[in-house]
Amino acid sequence: MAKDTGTQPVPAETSAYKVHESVIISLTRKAMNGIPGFIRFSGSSIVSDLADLVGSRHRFDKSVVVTESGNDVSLEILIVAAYGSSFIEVAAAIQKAVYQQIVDFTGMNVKSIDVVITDTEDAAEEKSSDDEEEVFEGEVIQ
Amino acid sequence: MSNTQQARSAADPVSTVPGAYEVDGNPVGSIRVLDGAISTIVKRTVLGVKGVARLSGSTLIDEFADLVRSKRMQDRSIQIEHRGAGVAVTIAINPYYGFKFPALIAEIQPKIVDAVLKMTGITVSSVNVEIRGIEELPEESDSEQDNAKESE
Repeated sequence: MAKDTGTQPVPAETSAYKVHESVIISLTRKAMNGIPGFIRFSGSSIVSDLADLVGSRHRFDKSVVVTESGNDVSLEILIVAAYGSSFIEVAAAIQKAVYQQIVDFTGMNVKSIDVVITDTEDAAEEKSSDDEEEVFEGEVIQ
Repeated sequence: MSNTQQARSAADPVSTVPGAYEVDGNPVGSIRVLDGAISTIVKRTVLGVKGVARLSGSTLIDEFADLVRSKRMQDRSIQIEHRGAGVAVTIAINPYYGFKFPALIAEIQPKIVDAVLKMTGITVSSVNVEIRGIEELPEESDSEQDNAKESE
């Protein structure tokens, strides 16, 4: 039986830790939640809906590419941005949020966060208001 | 499947734009806009102009493409060509009968330039418009029917 070694320094080689790729993806996802102009991760929404149903996180694996090398981490994030928003502002906000999240929680060195805007579409709320406008215009014409 | 998405991001034509978040004066990464996103902006801008019926092509195929979220129709009617830091846009449209083409095109061109610049920061150096067909105004047929009813 080994005795309590609480006062002894931990050997340097045992103090290293590894953050799994899926954890970085989760942190990325949480950091991006609620950022104005961010609609969703790129990929088929039908597939995403199915993934939601079965509780799968696989869809994020397709849209968040993590490259780790020692304590360094690089990310490529593929997103759909809100139509009408400034993609640059959306992407910069994502980079800031994800950078701070990963540095704060993991202590890793974030080498790069590349944001790729693959498409643009309406937010759900904007879609419904657009529909209302179309109906209103129709009434005026009639 | 993850490789598919990675392959798409690497293979698709893309524009890199400035404005990335900076730490200690250095950008933490790049911001890239795929041509597909520019095409969507162009499509929505063009279809928002009064007098434009639709992008050229088959309506049936267009509707089916919308259903399955395919961009084939859009890709056929909108071409994005990279020229230096900017892009040149070529679109094929079907206007409604009754709208004069020069005035229509003169309205479309600056709207596309403004929309793409505002959303992506990318400069559109030229907008070429092809008129491939012409459509009847649906409102006209309705009003004609109303007029016919009134005369009866």
